[in-house]
Amino acid sequence: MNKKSEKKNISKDNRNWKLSGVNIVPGVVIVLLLILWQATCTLEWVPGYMLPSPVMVVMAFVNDFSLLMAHARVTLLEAVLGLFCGVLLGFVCAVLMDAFPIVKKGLYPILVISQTIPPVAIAPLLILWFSYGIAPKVILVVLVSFFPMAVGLLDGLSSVDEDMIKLMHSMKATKWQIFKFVKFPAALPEFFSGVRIAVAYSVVGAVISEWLGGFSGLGVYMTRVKKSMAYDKMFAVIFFVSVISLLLMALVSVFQKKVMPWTRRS
Amino acid sequence: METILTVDNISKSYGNKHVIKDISITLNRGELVSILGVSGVGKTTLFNVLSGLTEPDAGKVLLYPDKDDEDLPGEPQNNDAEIDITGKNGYLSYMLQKDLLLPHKTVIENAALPLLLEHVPKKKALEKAGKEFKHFGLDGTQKQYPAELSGGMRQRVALLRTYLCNKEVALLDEPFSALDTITRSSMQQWYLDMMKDIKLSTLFITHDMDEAILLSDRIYILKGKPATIAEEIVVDEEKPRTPDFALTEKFLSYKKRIRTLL
Repeated sequence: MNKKSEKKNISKDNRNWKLSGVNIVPGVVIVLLLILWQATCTLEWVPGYMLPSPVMVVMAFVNDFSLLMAHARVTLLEAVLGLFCGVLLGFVCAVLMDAFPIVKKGLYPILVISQTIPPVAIAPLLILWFSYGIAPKVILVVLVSFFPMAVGLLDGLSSVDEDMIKLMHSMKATKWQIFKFVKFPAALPEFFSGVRIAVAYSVVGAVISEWLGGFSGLGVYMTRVKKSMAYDKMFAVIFFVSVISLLLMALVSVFQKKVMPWTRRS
Repeated sequence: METILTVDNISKSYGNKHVIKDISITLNRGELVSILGVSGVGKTTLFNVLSGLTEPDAGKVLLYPDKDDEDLPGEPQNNDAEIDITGKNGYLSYMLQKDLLLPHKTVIENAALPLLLEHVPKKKALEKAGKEFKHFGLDGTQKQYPAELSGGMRQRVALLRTYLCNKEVALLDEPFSALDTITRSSMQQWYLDMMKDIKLSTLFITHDMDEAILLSDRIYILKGKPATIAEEIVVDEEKPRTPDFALTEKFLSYKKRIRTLL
């Protein structure tokens, strides 16, 4: 009996890890919305130049496919590079803040304050300092992806049961052993939530910084199609950006399941 | 009988709140001694002091280890073989109230944790832990995760882990109190059976009179604010005991005596 109920708990936990995308209800809602959108355009409730129909958007995507891919390559490179550095930096910061309370006291408020500065506001400055290449974009991505990482992981590290730490001390475990055996594994769910949020931020961050100056990338493409009033292409690239984010987040979830086999058993 | 642990006039307060005062306890080799008291009386504080997690305000904890025991940490012992372990951790194995198993480790890795912490090579540690699985009634659970086990089984794993700390004295803090009544009594019976083979010197915290009488050689009653030892009771009944002991007149007379004391 007991065992049965515990098993139920596990499967409940498992459900939390599942991608919401595979659920049927939101799928139906999306299809309905698409139909409504198409109807709005076909019946000309809204003038065609203001709102392109879904079919037009798909056509725009197909026509500009190779161009979009070329731009996407640049944006992805910026996002992934920045994400990697941001996650690494966030990780180091979280571990230091957890290990040394004085570091947390000094750093944490600054981190929070730094998040009130909109990325759009610093992007021009970064371009001024680091010119129009990918450097300012990568730096902006680092800045936006670092925070969710650091805060998420810090929460995870400090969520560990005090008694577990006590037990480890009674077994004469070192600080490093406590980190390796107890704290880090316990913080893994928060770590991955942090990475997922950072992934979403990183793509958006890269696009925003491309808006404000650059030679290639999806953000640059966006500003160009906006200037030529090609709203079908505008919509196409917007959807493309969110699909990229979703795919990257899904990738993180798959990786998480690989790394955390104990949440996977049913 | 040979003494293995002496607790000498331990006092501890947090701020100006005296939690325990002048606690003196002796534990002989192979004995199981209970510390019985109501919840919140300061039993866990006492264990935190004994295990070296907190320093007492006054008093000493002395360990008289086996002379040819090499597993003791710290500097090599001299021949009078009395070690002052006051405020030092790593000398006694301590099992806290919760099972505290690591959810991300398999059952066997959890049991082998103390060995892994001492840098025993993983393969060897798992082998050593694996040998005890049958004895602890855990056969077949090696590769499972703790979340897949029932409460009683998890507690067995925690006990096995405590045992594998391989210290001469074990401190058990209400190991069965989180279990339901039926599981608890079957665990107590299992524990009695286990103790036939394992002569582990044990200090046992409990707030359950029946459990204390059933399992212990001696019982210290902890009482008051600050808590002091109110009485020491010797449970004069041959070991190994069976659960039937709990149905005897003798058992009841012990229980009556303890009730008046509490």
